[in-house]
Amino acid sequence: MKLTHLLYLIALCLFASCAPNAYLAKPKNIQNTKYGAYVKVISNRHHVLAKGELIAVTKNGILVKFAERRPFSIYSIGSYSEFPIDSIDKIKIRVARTSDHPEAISTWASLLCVSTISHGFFGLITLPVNFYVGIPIALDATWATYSFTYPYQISRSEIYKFARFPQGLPKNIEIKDIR
Amino acid sequence: MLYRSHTIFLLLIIIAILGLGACNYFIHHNFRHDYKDANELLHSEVSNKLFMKAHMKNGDVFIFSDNWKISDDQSSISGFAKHYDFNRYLISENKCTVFLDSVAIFETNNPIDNKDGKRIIALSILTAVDLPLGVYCIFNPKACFGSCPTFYYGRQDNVNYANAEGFSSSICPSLEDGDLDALNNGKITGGEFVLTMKNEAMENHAVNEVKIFALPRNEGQRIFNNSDGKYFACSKLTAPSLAKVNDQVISSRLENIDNLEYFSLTDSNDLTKKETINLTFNNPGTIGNSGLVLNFRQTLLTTFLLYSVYGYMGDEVGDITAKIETDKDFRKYIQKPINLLGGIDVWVFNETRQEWQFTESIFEAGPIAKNLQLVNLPTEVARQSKINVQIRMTRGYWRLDYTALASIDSMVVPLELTPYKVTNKNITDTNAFNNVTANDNKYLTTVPGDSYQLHFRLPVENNDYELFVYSKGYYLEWIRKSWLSQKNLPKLMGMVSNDTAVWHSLAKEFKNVEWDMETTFWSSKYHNN
Repeated sequence: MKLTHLLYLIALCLFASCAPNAYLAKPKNIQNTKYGAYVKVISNRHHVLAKGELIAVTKNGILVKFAERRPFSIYSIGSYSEFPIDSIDKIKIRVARTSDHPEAISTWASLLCVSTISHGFFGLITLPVNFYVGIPIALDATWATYSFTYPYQISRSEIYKFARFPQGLPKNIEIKDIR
Repeated sequence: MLYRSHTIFLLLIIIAILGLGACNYFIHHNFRHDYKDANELLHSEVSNKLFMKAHMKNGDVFIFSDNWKISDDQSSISGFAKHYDFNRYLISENKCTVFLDSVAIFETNNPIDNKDGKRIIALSILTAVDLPLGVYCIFNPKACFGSCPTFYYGRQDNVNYANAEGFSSSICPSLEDGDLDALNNGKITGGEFVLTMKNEAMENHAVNEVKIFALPRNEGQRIFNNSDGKYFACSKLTAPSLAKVNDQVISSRLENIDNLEYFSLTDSNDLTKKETINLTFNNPGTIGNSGLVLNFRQTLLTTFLLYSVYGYMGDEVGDITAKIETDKDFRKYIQKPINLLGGIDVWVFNETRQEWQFTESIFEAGPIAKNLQLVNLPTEVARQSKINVQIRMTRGYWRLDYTALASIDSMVVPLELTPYKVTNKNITDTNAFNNVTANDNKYLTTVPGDSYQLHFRLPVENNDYELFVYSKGYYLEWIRKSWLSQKNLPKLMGMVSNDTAVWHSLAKEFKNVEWDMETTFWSSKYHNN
């Protein structure tokens, strides 16, 4: 095992401990979630228009607060966009993470990878095994989400349930005031 | 090689990550229910649920978590709740009452299962393997670390696929020796042959000389060396009709050069206990000279014994090594255990004399790379219509991969090739080149992690060659701190003087670790078999 390979592995192990989906609720907290679902909006031309929180379903489309904006989104107003439903090919709706203990699992898997250093020449076997089993588990626990896709798995009329404001954007609230 | 290896490794990582990028689990959206008015809420079974959200018309949300209830007049809902504003900042967290006419939507969620169960099971299994192995290696470092100079050609550069292993018996300068190994190479193309030499152990390697012996071969022809360093061109190889150990048929393990090997476990009381493999060749069709081809290597018993020796030396390892260097008789004395365990003894049944006839004993140290060698059989035996061979060897000491009867065409003389260039990380290393190209007093010294590419020019570009690597040098084992505490000079002397009681205790010690060592170390290589 080359030193550089080992460094890659350690870096990957540490990387696996990050939590990019921390925004989403863990399964055990699904009852307490106060935000809208995390959506990925794909245009008719198969561009990713936006990724972010579903704020509300409007008369003509959906209102999304960007977590990450794409340059070719033409619907942007500051950090929000209202996407006409006709311009959308599909929406990937992520509602929750799949692990209640992603940090513990990824740390556990990372430590298993690192522990193979102590295995001597058995590490030639245990390191790849730990890597190819442990790291996918760590990444899965950290990144995998429960999701469904509009229009295949949910109809337009039911998307609103997963918005921050399922009742629609309240009249007293300006889009620009939403954090 | 280095660049390609990194690229493949990174690609695997990227593939793994991309694969996981798509790793989402479908959930039906009806785990979430919403109710537009209190009447709907009342007529549902939601009151049985602990959690309920009230989305207010002004954008606030109340998350009720316990014992909430709707008032008798159905005008309000009360209970313990967290109250968030439209930006989801927490406003209050206490018992409160919400009037239903200010609520836009009620929401409930069915519980969602997590997917942690299978993850925990998988990690538990890994831990169950890793933890004992880690503890085992901490307390038995001798069993976990070490190999010898390893040689590779082609794409594989993992120790599991080493093509040759250099001078494994040369554990100090005075024991410096040359070692010839068949590379068992496939068809060679192109005029250049690159051999990678690596130090993958906690050792210092002092490499005096590395060269290649190349022998032109025709299609279908193989060339093997015997223990005298002579080479024989063979045109016909016959696998044994039957291979047995006691009543166990092991023919399938010996019929091909592959990763399927025959090996036994040591006797739990006597490490020197022998076993006999009976090979039968029916109608071998050999007329002239013939030989028995063997592909073999040692088990990890050698590693265990060598590290035991170092452990028993304790803090006197320097003094004892100095004595080995300066005292020829002592040097000879400490090698007695090698004779005790012996080599692979080949016997053939001579039908004329009606007796088993000893032919040769072959020996090659090292548990990593396999050794492909020829044992010349007596001429009169080769003419028999049926040839019976016995391989007698110490139990648990050898791994046999292949046996075949070879019909020898002729003895051939190799071309000797020295490297024309040595590179280190793709940069020409003149110093290394000067040190390994001749048998002199100049050595290429390597430390763990070092890797050199030795470039050879083949004499005729489009010819095919059978290649053998010859390496000469010695190595010095790094003495681990934990070994020092195992100092036991009486046991060391008992070991090298072949004391029965000491060897009995060694048998017991090795038995405790043998199965784990063998199966764990080689399981990745044999999983397809």
